[in-house]
Amino acid sequence: MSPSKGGQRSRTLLGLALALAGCGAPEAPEAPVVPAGGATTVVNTSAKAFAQPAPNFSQERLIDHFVGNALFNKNWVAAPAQAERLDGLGPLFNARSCSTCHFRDGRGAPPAPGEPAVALLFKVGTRSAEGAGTDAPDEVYGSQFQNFAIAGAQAEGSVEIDYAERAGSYADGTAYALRAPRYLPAEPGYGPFSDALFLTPRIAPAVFGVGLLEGIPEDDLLARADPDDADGDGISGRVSYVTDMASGETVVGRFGWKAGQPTVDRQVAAALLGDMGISSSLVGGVQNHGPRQAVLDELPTGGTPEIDDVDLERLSFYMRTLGVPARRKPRDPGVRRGAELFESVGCNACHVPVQRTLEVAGMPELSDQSFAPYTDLLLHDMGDELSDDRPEGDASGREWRTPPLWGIGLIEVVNDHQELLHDGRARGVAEAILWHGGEGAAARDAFRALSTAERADLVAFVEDL
Amino acid sequence: MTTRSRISSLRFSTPLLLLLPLSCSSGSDRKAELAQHYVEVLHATYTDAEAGAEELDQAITAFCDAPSASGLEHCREVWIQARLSYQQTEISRFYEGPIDRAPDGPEGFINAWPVDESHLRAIIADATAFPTIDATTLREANESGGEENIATGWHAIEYLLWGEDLRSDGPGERDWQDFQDGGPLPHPDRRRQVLRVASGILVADLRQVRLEWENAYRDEFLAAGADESLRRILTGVGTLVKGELYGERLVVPWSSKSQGDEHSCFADTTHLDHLHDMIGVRNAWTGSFRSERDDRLLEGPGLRDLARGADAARADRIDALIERAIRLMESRAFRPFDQAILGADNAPGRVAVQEAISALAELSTELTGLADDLDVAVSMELPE
Repeated sequence: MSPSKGGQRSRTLLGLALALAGCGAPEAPEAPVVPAGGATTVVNTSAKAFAQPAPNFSQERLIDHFVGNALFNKNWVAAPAQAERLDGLGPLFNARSCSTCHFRDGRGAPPAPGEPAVALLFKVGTRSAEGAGTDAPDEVYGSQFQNFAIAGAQAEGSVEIDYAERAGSYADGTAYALRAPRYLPAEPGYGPFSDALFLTPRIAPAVFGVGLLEGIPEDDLLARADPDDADGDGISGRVSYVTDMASGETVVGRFGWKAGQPTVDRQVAAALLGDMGISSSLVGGVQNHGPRQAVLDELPTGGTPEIDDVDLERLSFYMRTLGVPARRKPRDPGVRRGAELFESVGCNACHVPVQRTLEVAGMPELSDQSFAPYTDLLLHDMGDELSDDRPEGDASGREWRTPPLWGIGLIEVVNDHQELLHDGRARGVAEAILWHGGEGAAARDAFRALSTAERADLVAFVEDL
Repeated sequence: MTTRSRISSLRFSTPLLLLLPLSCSSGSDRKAELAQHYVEVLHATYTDAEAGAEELDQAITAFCDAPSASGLEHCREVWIQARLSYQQTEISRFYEGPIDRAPDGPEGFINAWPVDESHLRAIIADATAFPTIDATTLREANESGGEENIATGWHAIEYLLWGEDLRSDGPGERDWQDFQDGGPLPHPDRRRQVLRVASGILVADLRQVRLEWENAYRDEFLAAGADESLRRILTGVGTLVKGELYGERLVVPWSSKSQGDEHSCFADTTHLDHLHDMIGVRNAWTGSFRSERDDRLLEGPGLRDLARGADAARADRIDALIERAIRLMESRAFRPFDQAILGADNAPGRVAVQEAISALAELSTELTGLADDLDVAVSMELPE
């Protein structure tokens, strides 16, 4: 079926759905809400809201989606094992399966006190002689801290997490509290930690919708970039230029908290290697430990590479073909007031509501879509408080990529928490806004100046996404 | 027992429904009659599933109290029988009814799979991490740290009863003495405890769902309006066919040829799971339900009656596709499923599974068409 025909049919159904739902007085006509994922939007508010195939793919096209889904959930095992396809875990790892951290294709949370970090992993940074944070790998612990290891190997260590409560208040006098985290490495598995070593956290984000984000024309990203803030609005988004892991070319980064990877398959390959110790052809078959952990070289691998290109592509295809959950009540009066506040406060300067795709090669279902991710995919200076002091590729320590907001209100349903930002420090939408600094400071201050009712509306709007 | 009286009341209500001349009632009335009968069928199916789980729980209790070879064999037989009813309830998933409504729908505690058996082994072996094994700890451990880390439900129990399936010509061969003090494996007491607790959770969760279909949810379903009820019925059937059965249960193992991707990989009863999922689909389609436990029959309007009024040719095609899928799943070539998926693509098992996959793909296209015919916006459609 052609996409346009599907669109027409959907509109007819939609009219009927509204007619069925509309028992009250007819509403005045208004601009339509762009469906969150365009034609890939899924109506589902269950715990599996992030795990639905996009409805506009045919059954035949979804075969690799289902196979990829099974692979996404599979626990990998240490080599050698009878399950040859799935051996090669580690020797160092953060998780045994993709779904460990991206549970139900959703978002991870920081560990409960005393529990090991699972969906919150840590990159390793090192300080220069002058004390500046760099992403140069630690000569023993490398560039990612793995807190698990297969039998016969030692984990790199654990992480102590402390939160300091910090009081603040809105302009109307209402008090709030933020929790400021501190992360310290402990239980060193490969010798004492160097004084130069420090850790920076990364929470596992939800994985749906990435095919659409990948398909946003590069020119559209460039058009929004304003690196020198030429328009003087205080927002100076930058395109993240990164080195492609396979080709070595300079390309535009889109994925990861600092937009360090250009495409879904690169992001998958990086996560497989860094988080699970699974080598792939994209990373040249290398393992995830360094020369000063030579004892790990003695352990068997699951082959070179450990995941073949077919399975790697299936994982990427799976995520690209997940549907984006629909908003629940975009017509709710409070939500609509919140949508207006979202604009007037200035959130939409970076959390750009609507993006589009043109032709996406091999993916007619993702082509020519308008959708609403609420991101510009650009890097923004978020201030000192959110800085992790560790540059990554093009991004400085203070810079983070605007994360999409779609599905944010369903995290509670899918993942049973609402812990936001790159390390889950924010307990809900309001705290996440309050942590914004740098280019986000003006919007944060405008939010703080709102009345209690207005803040509730704005949060209700974000939670409807 | 209360079950009996409930069944007889169902029997009274059914002929009354049949007396209503479908062709003369309005579209809305016909949908309401369909919804009314559907809740009767779902209630009866869950009643059977719960009764099966109770019987299993009794068998497991007796076995754990005094382990024996015959006791374990009895548990296995009861498990297989109980699953025949449970699978027929799966048409009631995917529309946020009692089984999978957020946040407390128990589906993930009842039928999550595939099971990474190392997770259960770790729970049994690790008395430090799991000093006590009760319903709370087992529920917490379920899906903890990954979607395959299953600690409760049919498939956790299946692993405990059968063990890993290392044979090509049959299911897992767990030694009954694994549950006996002084037996070959460590922690027989903890193994028994996990089995007892998992079995108790299964009964409790199925009872909760059955009660909802008897009371609160039944009322809500019928009060939701004929179109909304129809939307749910079609969403459940359509998603089971399109996503779960077609995708996760057939396409994935067909593609991977891996036993780890089959639904009941320890008991080697995957073909029965597929078959009874399809029988559940047929129940909703024809309106005719026959109990696996006592052969009682419920008859009334099914989706087919509405479909015939909208497009008789499509209704005939759906009829034929459902029957084709059922015949394939009943065929010798489909079992054991872990062997059926192996070999060259022209091997009889792979041909049969491939044909079933094709039938379900066609069926799901027809069901989407049916939703269009009936002006129902099922969950796959675009919202505004």
